[in-house]
Amino acid sequence: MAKITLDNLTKHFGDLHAVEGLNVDVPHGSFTALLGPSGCGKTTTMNMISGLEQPTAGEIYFDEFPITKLEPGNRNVGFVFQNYAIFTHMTVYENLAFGLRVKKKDKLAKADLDKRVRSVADTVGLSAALDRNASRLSVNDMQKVALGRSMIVEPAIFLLDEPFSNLDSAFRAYMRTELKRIQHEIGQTMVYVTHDQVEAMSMADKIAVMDLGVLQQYATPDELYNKPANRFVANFIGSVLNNFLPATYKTANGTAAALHLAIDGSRSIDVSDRKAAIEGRTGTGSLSVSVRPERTRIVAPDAEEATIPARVILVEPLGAKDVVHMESGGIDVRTLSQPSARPRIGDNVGLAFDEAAVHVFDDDTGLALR
Amino acid sequence: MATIRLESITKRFGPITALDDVSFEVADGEFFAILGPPGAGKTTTLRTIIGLERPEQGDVYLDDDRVTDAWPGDRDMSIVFQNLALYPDKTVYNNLAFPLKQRKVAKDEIKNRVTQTAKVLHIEHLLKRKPGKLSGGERQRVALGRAIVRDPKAYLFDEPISALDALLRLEMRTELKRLQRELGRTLVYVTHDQVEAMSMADRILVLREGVVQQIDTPERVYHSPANRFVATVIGSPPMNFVPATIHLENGTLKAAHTEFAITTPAPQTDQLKDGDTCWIGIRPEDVRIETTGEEGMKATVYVTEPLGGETVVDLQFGDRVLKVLAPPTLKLKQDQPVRAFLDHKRVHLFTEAGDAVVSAAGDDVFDVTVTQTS
Repeated sequence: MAKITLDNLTKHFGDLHAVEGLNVDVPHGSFTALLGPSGCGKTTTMNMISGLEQPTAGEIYFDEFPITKLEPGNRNVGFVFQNYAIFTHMTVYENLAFGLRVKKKDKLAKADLDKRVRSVADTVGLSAALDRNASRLSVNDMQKVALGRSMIVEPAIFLLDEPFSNLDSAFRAYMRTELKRIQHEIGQTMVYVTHDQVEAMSMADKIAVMDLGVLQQYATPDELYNKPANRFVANFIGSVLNNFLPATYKTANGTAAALHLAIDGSRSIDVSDRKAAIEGRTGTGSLSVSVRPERTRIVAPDAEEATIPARVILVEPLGAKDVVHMESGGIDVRTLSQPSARPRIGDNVGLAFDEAAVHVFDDDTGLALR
Repeated sequence: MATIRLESITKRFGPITALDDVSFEVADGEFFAILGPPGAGKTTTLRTIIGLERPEQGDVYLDDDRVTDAWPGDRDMSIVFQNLALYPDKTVYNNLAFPLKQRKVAKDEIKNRVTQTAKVLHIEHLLKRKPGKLSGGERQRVALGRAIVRDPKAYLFDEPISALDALLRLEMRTELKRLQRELGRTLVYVTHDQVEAMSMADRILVLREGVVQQIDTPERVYHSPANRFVATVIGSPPMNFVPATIHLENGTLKAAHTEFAITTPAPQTDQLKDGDTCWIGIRPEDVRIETTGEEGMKATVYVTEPLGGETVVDLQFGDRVLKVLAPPTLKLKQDQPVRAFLDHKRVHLFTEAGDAVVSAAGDDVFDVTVTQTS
């Protein structure tokens, strides 16, 4: 077990800056996700941790030891890929035992090896399949074998690169739960690479969100969702598209207490508690605000709590709830609502914002202002 | 006007029956989704509609005309595949114009139609570019444009957005639905993603191994699934299933699991007999968690999975783990004992084979009593 420190980690491939000045501390025993769209540098980062790539600049530490000069085989890292590499001519038992036989220089006693294999098989849910030939397994079980084989050698650090991408969605949901539980039980440091924000949010203790090689935010799932550092994070996290609206501010006597949404007929939003949105601003100017769909609700068009007027253009039923799409001053906005209270297409409504949940972003930098 | 009707279609590939007696009708202007896992026969159905596959049995009708033997080109439908085929050396304009040129449409008319299509899809500014210079989403829009530019009777889409990034998929979902509403044309949409089917379609056909499971509105497939397969495929996280034993007595039905039992007035059916094994189906949003009190069912927190707007809580009941949706404000720890309450108007019962017997959600509401078994 170890903590990982990425110190100014940088990787260039010619002109391409795949990873730029990345600083991340992965605490000992924690579950950390590297999340971002394709091309964000997450897999390159993972490859530098495992030793498959050499950084252009910066250093990686396991505990206090710099390891970038170490061969991959000497880093004591376990790896699970999207494409499981297992031996199809061996049984599940032999596949699991193989890792131990190769890795451990001092040979384990047969009884000890047997105990370890059975214990790992139990953890990953393969106890009933130990004698089966690996070639006869389902895709789902093959991925369990790959997971178990990495786990059995008890590496200091566990690296997983989109291990569930090839699995069907029901099994993916099941494995998410199991992996999170397993990580808690064995207490191993895990780094998990994914492009799927649901996977990262649901499993990780902390998530490093990356875009174009640059770290956008490194925070808990709760913080990423409720306190996004910038517009990219606010947009990338969440299963329903976030709402973004243009706004203007007007300062008077050196303070700007309210933001005016650039939509006819909308109410101004009180942001006097968000100092950074106001500080140093003079005259008038523009900003963006965002509010999550579930922090808004449909009210009567003339209701006092209506923040903006809106017209319903589309309803997407998802079963337990609806996503209601509306248009307001040429901007698309969304809310979640109960199917029992479904509005009709074309309805004119009011949309009330939970003002405490409104975020303000600088238009030039995209940074959140609090 | 275009209605599409398939009557008892059976399609075999050697020993494999890809479609087994498939019948359905798509109404004029309807957004009709065909949903199923890989290998269910979705694409084969689409290829049969357009005429790329010839069924062994059954007939395809377009507006009441039998077209089973007609050439694909004579069916006046356009199809969009997951792997977009754009001409890399042609500009976006010429990619869009190509299907019209092939049909010898007049030059002025081509210009008109291409401009209009580009406008609908918001790609007017891209007309002079080549596909290599476009983003994934832009390329997808051009591919859609090629399908709609020629104003066919119906559109057939085969997983047109599943290769896109998650964010773009969310955007395209809304745009596709709006587009179809604006064009008012019949659209058959194949997907393996239940969210796409639910959010966009007027009706959904759920297909499994070539056999139709249910054809219904999104609300009905969600709240009144025809069987366990449909109940599993629709919804995320999927419906939970708990094995139970049936006890019929004095007009009441009791389904008893080792941890809890539900009691309802006995349904008018002979599908469930005393002593039968059945499945109790519970949607994740139909369980409420409380951290204090002595009422409700005993459970422990197995894992919590925060998603931001809501949290998936895996609750352990004896040897079963159920996925439950909770508000993000509810803070729970792993292995914490809690109390769970089942919504007594929302429970599903399935026979051991998986047929739905009772769906106490939506219309046929009944009252369920939940008791702790031990």
